[in-house]
Amino acid sequence: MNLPSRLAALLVLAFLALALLWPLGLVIGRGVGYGLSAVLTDPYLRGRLGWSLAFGAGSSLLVVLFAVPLVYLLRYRFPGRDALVALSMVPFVLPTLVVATGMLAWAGPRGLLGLDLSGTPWILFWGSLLYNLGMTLRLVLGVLGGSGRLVEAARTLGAGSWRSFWRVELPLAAGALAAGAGLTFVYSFSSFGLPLILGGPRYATLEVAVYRALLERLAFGEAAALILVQTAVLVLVSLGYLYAQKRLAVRTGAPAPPPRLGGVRGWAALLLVAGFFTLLYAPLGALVLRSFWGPEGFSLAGWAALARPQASYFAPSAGLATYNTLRFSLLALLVTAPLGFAYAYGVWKGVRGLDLLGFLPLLVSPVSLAVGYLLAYPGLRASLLLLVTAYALLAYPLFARTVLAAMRRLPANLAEAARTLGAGPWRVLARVELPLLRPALGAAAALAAAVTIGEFGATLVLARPEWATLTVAIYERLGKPGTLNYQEAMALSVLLGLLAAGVFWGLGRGGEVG
Amino acid sequence: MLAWRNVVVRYPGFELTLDLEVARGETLALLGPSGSGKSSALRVAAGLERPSAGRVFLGGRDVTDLPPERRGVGFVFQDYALFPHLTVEKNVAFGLEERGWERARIRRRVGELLEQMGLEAHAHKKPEQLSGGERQRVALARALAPEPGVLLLDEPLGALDLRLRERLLLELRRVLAGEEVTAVFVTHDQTEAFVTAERVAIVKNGRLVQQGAPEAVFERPADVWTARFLGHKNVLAPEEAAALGLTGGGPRVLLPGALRLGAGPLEGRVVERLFYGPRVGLWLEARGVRLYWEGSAAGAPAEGAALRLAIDPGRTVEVGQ
Repeated sequence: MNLPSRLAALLVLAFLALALLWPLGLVIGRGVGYGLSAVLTDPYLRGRLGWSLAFGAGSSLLVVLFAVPLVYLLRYRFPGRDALVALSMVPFVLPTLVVATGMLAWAGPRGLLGLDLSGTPWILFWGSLLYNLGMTLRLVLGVLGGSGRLVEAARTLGAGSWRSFWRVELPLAAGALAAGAGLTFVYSFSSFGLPLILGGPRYATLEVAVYRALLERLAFGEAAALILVQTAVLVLVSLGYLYAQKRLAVRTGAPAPPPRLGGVRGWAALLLVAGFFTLLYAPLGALVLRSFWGPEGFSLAGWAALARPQASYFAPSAGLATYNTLRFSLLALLVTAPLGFAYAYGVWKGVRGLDLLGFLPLLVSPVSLAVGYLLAYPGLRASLLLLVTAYALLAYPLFARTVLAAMRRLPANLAEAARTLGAGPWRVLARVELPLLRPALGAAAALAAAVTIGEFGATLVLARPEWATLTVAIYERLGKPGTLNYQEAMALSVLLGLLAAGVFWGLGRGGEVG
Repeated sequence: MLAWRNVVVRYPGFELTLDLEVARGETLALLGPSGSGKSSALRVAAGLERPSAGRVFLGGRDVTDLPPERRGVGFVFQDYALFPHLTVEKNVAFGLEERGWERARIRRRVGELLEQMGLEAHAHKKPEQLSGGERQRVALARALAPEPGVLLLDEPLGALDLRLRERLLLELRRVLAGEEVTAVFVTHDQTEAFVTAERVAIVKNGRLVQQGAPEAVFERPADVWTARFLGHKNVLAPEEAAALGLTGGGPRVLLPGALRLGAGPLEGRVVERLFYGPRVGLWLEARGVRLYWEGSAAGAPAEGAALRLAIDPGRTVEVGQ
């Protein structure tokens, strides 16, 4: 621990206190005041808790069920394998609202599938699987990349391909699989965009219930109590997640190239995996198709509508929404980058307890956070500060994780060598560490920007009409009747998806994110 | 017991060709510098790699098309490849469970091996809790447990420090002799090969350059490169040999004991004197040729001293280019 790392820790703590603990504490205080019993005795609200739990648990179960056979195939090398692995990561940087409109275009009332699944849990589970499967695959394949020697050892000891998968690779991947399942639970349990648009009243999550209580009924106490329940569940799950990570973590060796699956079997694997992803990602294709589809077939009306000037104060034009989206993301990045770097640097240099604290923002849902801000800083409602702070709080852990992974890959003795050559900690940071971390910083910024571009929950609560972003504009169009509005929402979603993916791959070239 | 028949392994920019046989119960060392292809030969024998051409035979059976799990060989990896999620005991039992042994028999065999390797106290530890030497012994026990027909060892001592290497080398030698297993091990260290193996096969750039009993190979290296690789320091070019009065047209190697100090027809000077402890090494110069002598420190001349020396022509051998 050196002086810069202490200052970094102090900065992060101050930010967390002001931007997270104080507002959230106020909300929780209100929630306790309102009474948990009031929430738990109300059958509708109890139903929200039950469904949120079921949605979280069901989603993680589905992700694990699909991930295991996919990993079995993807641990081989076959034609097109690397492209498929890269493709599986695409939805992770897509805004949830894009996934939601995609599901609507695929399996909604006017969906391409021809089967209206909206208002059923299946459309939500499909969306959740689409969103979370790639992340889990990436985690598991990352661990298994280093187990090549171990599989060879198992093979020479008489275990066939399936047996070595079962006895060696699956146990080694258990930690990563549990991490994927845990994160899927957290994301699904507290998801907002997907159930708000597709779930109807029956399949609204707690997060949606908070938003509705607040905006439709102005029931602040009820919203606070719901946030309290939600936060309690998320804390419990995270503690379980941390425990599982400690128990299941195994260190494997250096990455080794996967074994080759030759001939017909290789092509069969390609067909199987590619076919699965084509079906799973069909909603994204449907979204693009639908944006070019009017009541009488092919039509550019939805795209042409993007050029319309602002219809009313409450209906932002596409141009303004895009401008706002990019402006807020850039402003947020100015906070996220120094904050995320300070956090990663503090953890890396061994400031104790900081790594756990950094988890906290992942536990807080954007809507709860925004509610807390309105409560804690009513005087700032008219300034962009609250919005930018919320973005930075939600994005900095992702920024920091990417940078931290790169920091941990740096050999420790580089800094020591610089110290023996006369450089103090600040000089080491400037002359050795920062230059080496530059590619990772670019990737981290790209990830943070992609995430904030698609932010929906906090924006919806905090934004004033003139601050509407693309996500808010999509939601506004979806809420209005008529096929043109529907088509315009689809076109806006495609635009948003391209923007998020473009920023992610353009800025970070996608490679460095761990 | 194990035979490579006209095996070819191709990589971009590299090709290994090998035609070699190992008799039942024999210990063979594949000796060569890194990148010579010796590890590929071992991986082909285990079925971890497929040869581009040629066949592999185990116990007279063509196993070229069999996957590793159906070949029944034991393999010790350079980095040991111990399963990090299993205890020492479970690691050793792994292959026995795959072969469907009964529980009681597994327990007996595992206990026997742990005792033999002095690992009883570590039975319930995970690999990460062990030292390098202990890991090496677990890897050996795991490979030996299913009583394989052939044991293949890829640089088994490569990851250990020098002191530990010497101790484990003797242990390895004892185990290989005691288990009466056919063993092939790959190494780049000629001492390791000489001490452990009954036969040494030297591989260079994907070609087998020489094979035979360790002493025979050491005393009659095939060519200049092999002589140097085996540790000979007095490898003389034809002109140098002629300058020292040794007849014959080719390069010549002075075997240990060929050089005698104190008397003789040659005049020389000590250029460098290297004190190793039990012995001392002297780099000498005589008639413009650098020569190396090694022996007891007692009475060895000082650096810079002039001396007379003689070469016993019977202890020199002519080698190929």
